[in-house]
Amino acid sequence: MILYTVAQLEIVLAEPGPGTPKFHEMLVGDVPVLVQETGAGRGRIDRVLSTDPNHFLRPELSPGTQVAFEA
Amino acid sequence: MDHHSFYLPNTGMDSGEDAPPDKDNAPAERDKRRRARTLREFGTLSIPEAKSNIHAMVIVGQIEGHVVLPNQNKTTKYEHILPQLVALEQHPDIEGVLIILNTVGGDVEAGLAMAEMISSISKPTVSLVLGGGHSIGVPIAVSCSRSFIAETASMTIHPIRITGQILTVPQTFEYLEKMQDRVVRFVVKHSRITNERFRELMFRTGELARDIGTVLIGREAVECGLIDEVGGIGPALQSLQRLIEEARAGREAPLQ
Repeated sequence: MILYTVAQLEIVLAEPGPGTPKFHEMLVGDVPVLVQETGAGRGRIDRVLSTDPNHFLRPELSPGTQVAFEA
Repeated sequence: MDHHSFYLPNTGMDSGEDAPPDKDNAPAERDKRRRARTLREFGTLSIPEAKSNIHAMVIVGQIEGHVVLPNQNKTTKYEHILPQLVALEQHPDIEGVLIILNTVGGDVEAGLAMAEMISSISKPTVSLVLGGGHSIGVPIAVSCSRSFIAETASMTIHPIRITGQILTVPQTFEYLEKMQDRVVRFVVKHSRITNERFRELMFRTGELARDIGTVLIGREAVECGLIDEVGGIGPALQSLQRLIEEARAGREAPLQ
């Protein structure tokens, strides 16, 4: 792997610490989202991974919305 | 529910015995695991969704390729972007793609794969560099039909470095040179910058504190021929609409 980046490689490749959040890719309805885990089976939407601009206008998909999933 | 509708013959269950009924549900269970439901209910009427003929692809953070980067990095993954580009190319209702870039760079192979995909899409594409479009973000920015940069956005052009264990043999240098050539060739082919000018920017000394290379800010990227125009989301979308109309006119023109 060759990383061509301006970011400092010590930071990019650093071992994740204990406080590093866990992320999962999921579907809410038909929309792919990135969910940050906040507890067992719970999380909050971090990012909408869709390319459809209309998905970003849906209130239930706004970043920070709490979601439940089967762990 | 008809359990047999979930039966997949090649999932290791065709051992000659009838699988227990709960195993029949395995694919559905797996599917459910990847689904989330929102915890707040919204007491609003569902408004019919307006369809957009333009889709936006946001490329942010580190561009992630064959190796998963540690969790502290915000990344854009090629396994998301490449199939999405295929879907955008194929979908009959989507007429144009807007690429929004705010990236620090990342994996060379992944970045070049995205840039090649975008440059070969048959639909009009417009890129907009906001914040930063550094390193491997540069070929992605120039891969579109038309490129824009915000006045305050910057693009860093610098040589490729190798990390980890390296052999200090001439072959290592040659390999790096080859990798660099891939990037330079792509950028020169898809923008107005010359090979000599791009390499001069890449190897300039005295500009960067920790590296050799150049930082181009807004208008400077346009003046050296890398990016087409300075502008924000408004001009970028207007340009995309114009390209879409031209493409429509081209399709509707009668055969002579």
